[in-house]
Formats: sequence, C-alpha cells, structure tokens
Amino acid sequence: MTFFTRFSLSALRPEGGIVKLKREGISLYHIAKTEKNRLYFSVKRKDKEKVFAILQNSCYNVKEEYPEGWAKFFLKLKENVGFLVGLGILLFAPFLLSSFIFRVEVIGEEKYRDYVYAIMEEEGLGVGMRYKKENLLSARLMTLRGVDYCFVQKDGYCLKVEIHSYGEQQKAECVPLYATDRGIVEKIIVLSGEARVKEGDLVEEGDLLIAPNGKIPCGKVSILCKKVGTKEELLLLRDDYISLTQTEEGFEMTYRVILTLYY
Amino acid sequence: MRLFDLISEKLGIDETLSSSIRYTVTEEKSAYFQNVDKLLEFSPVRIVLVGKKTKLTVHGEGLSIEGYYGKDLVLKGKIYGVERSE
Repeated sequence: MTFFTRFSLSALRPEGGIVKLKREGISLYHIAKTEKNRLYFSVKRKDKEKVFAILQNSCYNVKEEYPEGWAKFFLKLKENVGFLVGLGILLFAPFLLSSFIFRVEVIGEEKYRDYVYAIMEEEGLGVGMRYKKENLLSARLMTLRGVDYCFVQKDGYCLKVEIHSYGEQQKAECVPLYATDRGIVEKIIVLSGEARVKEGDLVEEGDLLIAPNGKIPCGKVSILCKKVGTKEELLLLRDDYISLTQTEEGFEMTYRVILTLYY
Repeated sequence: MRLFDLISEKLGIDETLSSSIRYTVTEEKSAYFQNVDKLLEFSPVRIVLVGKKTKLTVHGEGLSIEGYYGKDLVLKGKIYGVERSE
C-alpha cells in the first residue's frame, strides 16, 4: 500500500519546480495543471520532507494539500468517529444482546417448573440477565429427586430448560435434613416440614435442622462455618451443595454450607 | 519496456544505444514516454517534453501526468497528436 502526499505548486512557471524535483530524483505522480501558474502533484509519503527541502528558498510556492488514497480514507474515518461508533454498535448489538436472556422456556415435567426458576435465580439466571456459561443449573437440576434427564440450552435470546423424569415415579421419603458441619445458622427457609433451629443458632454436625413431622421436608438452610487447617472445595451432592463464600486466610477460613431439600 | 525491445528487434535497431525520447500512445487516452530529461511546458492541452536529442510536443485535451519517475513519464488524457522537433 502506497501513501501519497498531495502538493500544490504555484509560480510564474510551475513546470520548473517539477524539473527541479525530478533532478533531485523525486518520483512524481498525478500531475495536473488547473491554472496557468499552479499545478498539483503527488509524491510518495516518504519523499514529502524532501519536496519542502528542495523547493525552499526558491521562487516556487509549495503547499501540502489533502491526503490521497488510503490516507484520505482513514482521515475521513477519523472525521466521522460518531458514525463509526454508531455503525459498530449496530453491528455488534445483536452479538452483545444475544448473551442476555429475554425468555425462559421450561419443557418437560410441569412439577419441576418452580424448582427450575428457584435454582435459576440462585444461579443468577433469569430474564434480562446475562447468560453465564459457567453455571451449575443443569447439574443442580439433575440433583432433584426423580430427574433423569436435564438439558439446558441457550437458543438465541431464549434459555431452554428441558427436564424429564423417566421410569418409576419415586416415592418421596420423609427424610429429615441434618447439618453436615458445625456452624451458625445464617438463614433458614422451610417450605414443608418443621424447623428445629433458628437463625443465629449454633449447630453441630448431625444436628437435626428440618424435621419431616409427617410431611415431606422441603427448604433451605444456610450455615456459616469456620474451619482451621483445611481447605474445602466446591462440592455438589445429590440434595445439597457446599460452596465457598470466602477465601481462606492462612489456615483459617469461613465458609457457608447451604443445605437444600427439594422434593 | 519489453515492448520497445521487441519493436527494435523487429526493425533491427539497437535501441539500447538510443537516447531520444521513445513513446507509445494507447487508444489516444494515455501515452508512455521514455528517456524524458525535462518537462518544459505543461498545460491540459499541451505538454512539451525534452530528451537528449529531441523535443516532443503533445497536443490534447484534459492532459495530466499520471507518473513521472526516473526518465519515464505516463500521460493521461485525450491525445490528439505528438509532434517531434530536433
């Protein structure tokens, strides 16, 4: 790609200026004469300074004109930054917007619909939210009792969640929810069953948190724990999961155990 | 230019020794000149080129010089005729 610089040369006899430049070995392009005492010419960008040097202190009046070729194109672009930004937004908007969720479609078992939305909310997914590929939605939905098939797919602006239960319908058991670690109960939500602890309670491992009390227990308990000398990794179990909320400091760390029961 | 070499070969002339201006006019819209020493006069209707032995006057309309590098000159525009004088 060759960049040119355009000049105008005015003198009583401008052709002499061309001869002078040629004599110095400058290649000239696009020479045109529009007036008697003025002509225009271009030189390669690298020769620009030479033109001024050769014609200075002479009877020729040389002036740089607008750039040509690609340089002119880029200059035009520079002058229209607003237009470019607008064009960029117009072109990239579909790509940008496609990463957001504008519709959620739950296909399959109707009974899991509420659980799907609840878990989606916990995973930070929902209408108007950005779709994060690294989510545990699918894995967590698979932990729901009776779920045999689960498929989460982002299709354009729509998040499709397909959830199915095959085979024999498992009978829900009246299994109580026990603490899996020692800690302070931070939050407890009981949808079904009876709470045996309240917020702020200190619980030991194995303590009963939600008792069936004749019903199928359903709820969530968040326990704030403290451990010394160990490092917990994110665990995903069948009906509950453990997630780290704080990084360890030295050998001591605080973490949160969230026990969830969905039946 | 290979074209000139081929013509010289056909005519049996040793063009390599020649220092006069050589030129080719294509479809009256452009012309290629070699061995140009000097641009004596330039206007949209008339261009005078000087070589070592000859002087060429190009008559035309809307004439412009597309390129002038080394001793080669490319002319654009409607060319009516080229007049040679010693």
